[in-house]
Amino acid sequence: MATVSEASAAGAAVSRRRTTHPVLRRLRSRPLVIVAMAMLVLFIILALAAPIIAPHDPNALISGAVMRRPSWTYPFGTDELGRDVFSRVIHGARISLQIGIITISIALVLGTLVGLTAGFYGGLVDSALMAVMEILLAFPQILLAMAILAMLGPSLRNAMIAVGLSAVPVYARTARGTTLSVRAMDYVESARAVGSGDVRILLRHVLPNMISPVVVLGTAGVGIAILIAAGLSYLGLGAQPPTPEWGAMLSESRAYLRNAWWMATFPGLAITVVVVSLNLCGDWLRDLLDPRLRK
Amino acid sequence: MAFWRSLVRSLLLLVVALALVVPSITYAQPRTGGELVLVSTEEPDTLDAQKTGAAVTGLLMRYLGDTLITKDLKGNYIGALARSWTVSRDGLTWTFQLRTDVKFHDGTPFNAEAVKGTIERALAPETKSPIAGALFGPVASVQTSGASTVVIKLKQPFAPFIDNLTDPRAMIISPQAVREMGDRFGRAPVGTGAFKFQEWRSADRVVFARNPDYRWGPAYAHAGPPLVDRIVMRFMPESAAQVAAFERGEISILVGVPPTDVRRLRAMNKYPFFSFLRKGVGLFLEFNVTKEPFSDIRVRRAFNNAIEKNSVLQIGLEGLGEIADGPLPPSIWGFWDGVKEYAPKYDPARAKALFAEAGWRQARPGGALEKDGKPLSFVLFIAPIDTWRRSAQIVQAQLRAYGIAMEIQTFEFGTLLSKLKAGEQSAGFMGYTYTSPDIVQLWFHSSNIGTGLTLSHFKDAKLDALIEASRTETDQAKRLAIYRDIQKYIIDQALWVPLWTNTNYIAVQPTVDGAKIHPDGFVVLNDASLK
Amino acid sequence: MKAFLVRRLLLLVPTVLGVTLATFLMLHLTPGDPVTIMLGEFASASEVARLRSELGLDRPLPVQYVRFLGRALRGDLGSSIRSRRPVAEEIAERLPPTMQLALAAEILAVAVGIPAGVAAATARKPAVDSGVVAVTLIGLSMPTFWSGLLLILLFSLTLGWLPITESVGVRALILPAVTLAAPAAAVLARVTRASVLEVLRQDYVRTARAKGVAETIVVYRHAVRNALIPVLTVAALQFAGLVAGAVIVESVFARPGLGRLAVTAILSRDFPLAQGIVLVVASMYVFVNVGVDVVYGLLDPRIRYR
Repeated sequence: MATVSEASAAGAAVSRRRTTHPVLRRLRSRPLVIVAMAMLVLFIILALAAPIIAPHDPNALISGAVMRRPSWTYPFGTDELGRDVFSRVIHGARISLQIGIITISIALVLGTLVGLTAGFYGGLVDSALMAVMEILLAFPQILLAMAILAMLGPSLRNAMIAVGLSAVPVYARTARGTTLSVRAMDYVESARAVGSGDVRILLRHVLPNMISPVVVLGTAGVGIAILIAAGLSYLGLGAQPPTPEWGAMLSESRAYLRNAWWMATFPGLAITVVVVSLNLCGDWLRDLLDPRLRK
Repeated sequence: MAFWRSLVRSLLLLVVALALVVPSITYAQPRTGGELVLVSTEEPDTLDAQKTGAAVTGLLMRYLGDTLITKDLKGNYIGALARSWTVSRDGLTWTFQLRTDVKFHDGTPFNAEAVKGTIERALAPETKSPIAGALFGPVASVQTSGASTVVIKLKQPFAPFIDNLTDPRAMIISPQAVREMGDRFGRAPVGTGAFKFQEWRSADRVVFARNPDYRWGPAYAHAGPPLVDRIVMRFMPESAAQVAAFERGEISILVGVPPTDVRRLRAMNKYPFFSFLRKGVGLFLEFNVTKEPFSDIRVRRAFNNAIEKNSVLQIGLEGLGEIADGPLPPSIWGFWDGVKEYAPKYDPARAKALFAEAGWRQARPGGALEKDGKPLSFVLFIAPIDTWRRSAQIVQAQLRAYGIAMEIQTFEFGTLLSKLKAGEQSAGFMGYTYTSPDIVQLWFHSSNIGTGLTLSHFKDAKLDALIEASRTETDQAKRLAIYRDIQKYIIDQALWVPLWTNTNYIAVQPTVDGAKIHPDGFVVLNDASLK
Repeated sequence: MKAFLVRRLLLLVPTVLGVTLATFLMLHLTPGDPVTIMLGEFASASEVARLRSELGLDRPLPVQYVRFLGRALRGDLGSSIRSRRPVAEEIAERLPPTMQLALAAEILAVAVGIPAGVAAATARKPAVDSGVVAVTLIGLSMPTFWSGLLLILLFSLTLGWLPITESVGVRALILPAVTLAAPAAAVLARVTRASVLEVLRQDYVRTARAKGVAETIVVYRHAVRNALIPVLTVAALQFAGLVAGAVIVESVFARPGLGRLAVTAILSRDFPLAQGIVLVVASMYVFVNVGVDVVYGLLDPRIRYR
């Protein structure tokens, strides 16, 4: 075997006698994933403990400290109003992760519900639901989100609803596909033979088995949601000032790129690092959960 | 061989001679040709001067059209398309003697009929002009007397009329072109200006070409055709990209340099700069007096004492302007210079006392300002303008110190305006630009509630009467006194918290010669040329 | 074959109807009276009533929908509130620059993303794989309004290579296309990598290897060729996403395209215009989707009998 890629190396490792837990073994061969996980853990801690960790109130205007360069006092410098960028990025972790998670929760719950129903019942229900999803899929996410925001009015909450709703069809489609394959499995057939009700079969047998691809999709989806929310902030439809949402911070400081590089750089880096990490972890999860790799 | 050598030598001599002579010629007479590139964030809705709602259209019409009267660089009224004019004693009859050597861009002659056609079209209901009412409202009739005399009759004396006639949107348009093109006129306008319409590429640029027949330039520039071949107005939504394009030399004149870049560009010592105080109040917080808690004048007054404007100016606008105290800035005639003394000062103690008087108290130090258990909170509606967003956040932080929770909600400018007109707001940010004090009619007269710009929704007979008097009074000294009373009254009623008036900065490429700044806030390009 | 084509094209009808219904409802579910917005603040009540009946807005919703559909079929999408021009005319004017941009970005994304994905999947060193993955992910993870501005500052201002205010021609296309292509290329690279890895695990590849076929031939003749079919599907479907991505990129680079028109229309609540643009972009997606299916059907006979 001359090609040594991550996946085939992992496969080769599995074929040896199991000495350590397979998850850990696979993780060891992917240092990037370890870094990514560490980053995500770091940002989650930052988000949870923001008020304790942040040295300043993220919205407090520190008098006489407008657009200071990064220093010991202000590690990421201060912004055009004299706010500590470090504290804002930390509090921003709270907001941006929240955006990603809430948005994807909306998409995941509704999408799974639709996909599960469509896949499980099949027939007319399936055709009707998936036709609606197919139609919604035709509307690009950012356009759909913009249109929803134009109706509901711009705000962070509405942005989350808009982005979440616009992602539903993607999840519905995946959920339906896996439900279809799970439904055909023997254990579902036998549960049905024993006389279990639909809801019971769905919850006990189908849902747990079809959820992993949806979760994989959702991991990267959190990152996409953060990026779309940032784009909406750029268009003036997202978070309202003074909310330290990363996209809003980045967008508002773009006028100062030439005078105060730190104002845009740190929130920009935060977005990039989190989205990259989410994607790396998503890829890794996919490989991990892929039954063909597990064999 | 010798022949060739002597030929080369003589050619060389010729080249040297030309090289010596040519620059001296161009020095004496500015070079003609080339194009000047301007930039704007906003794109016109239409180039029909009478149908536009966009400020950028007004700016473009300065180049495409001429008005009957204009202002020179000192702000005096001078004839433009009108050679001279007289006003009857009662101020009701205006008689204009027109120039006879003027042609529209489509070749049709400019005459009294054209003036009549223009004004009548503006006032016709089917034109649905958003500005005709303000500009020509009291016009009763327009009559021609021969080809070069126009008589405008007014229903009542109308003091702002002369200034309105200098507004670029009052330009005279070709009646024949309007007839022929109908609705398409707004995409290919025809005027008499120094530049004529060439092309409008949507979301990209408007191109105006030099009008070679131009002989009727205003007194503050040379009379003939402009020196450059074209002016281009490029539309770029991203201001950071505008500045980058200017620094790269792709834009000749950058009107409205963002405050962030003013210092940096000036420090480069490379670009000539023009600056002037905006004609209008750049930013004020306007209350909706029909909504709680701002229906209470004590709360509005308390806000005027509570906000420390200098920080808003220094941080929100990087200090590039002046603190505003009343509804008019010093750059508009009619400004009362006692306003600084008269206006409420920053006084936190007085603000708290006023809040308390109105029933708003802090239950505990550092807590929310409450009345009957309800906290004082409201949403401020703003537009996504960088300096507004910054100023709003400073005001927000200042109010927080009093226990007031102010939220900020951003809307695109047009949407914001329609929401404020509809009275959906508790309070909003606004700014205006206007050339005359008649702005108080547009902004405060109760007839403009709902449809016009009376965004405070303040209905008050005394203020209406004062404003009406300011419009019909033709004695300038008396008019000044009325404007003083109006300014005092508006401050008394605390309809606004005026915040600042910005200085406009215009950066010019060193390769551009002869650009001048007009006191009404635009760049005169008739004499401009490229080195 | 013919049956498959007919079936697929027939399926188009309900989808397109659904798309039109959704865009139609978008306008009617939005709070605020479109007529008042259209006429502006100076309209009288009688004018409002007249325009309302003129536009048929006083009819029942289903009747309105059928009329909307009828007009849309004839290419009449109403008039823009702001410019008072026909929506179809505005869209026709703005579509070409966006198509150019999206096509250029698509070509770039394919030209960079697929080789990068193949390289990552077949790299002999894990570091190469990780490196390619990391770089493409960064392309995916930067908000385009930020990366676009950085590109302007670097390539136009600092290095002075490319113009900022030009709007036509290849030079004006480079930076926006790169900005728009970066996330798309990253997605393609990842899909390619996964797909190639998948194929490399297939039996026939193993057989080829076992038979002693040279590794490069295994990779390029067998694996990559077969792996590319799903990748090209993704690439085709990405096209609609690129058109939507123009919403932000065109604003940053001041390009006169459909994306910027969409922003203006939605932000200024120019509903007929917004509706028209959304309808056009969504229909584009539907047709690309069908096109992909049909091409697939032609390439792979198994699909037809699915």
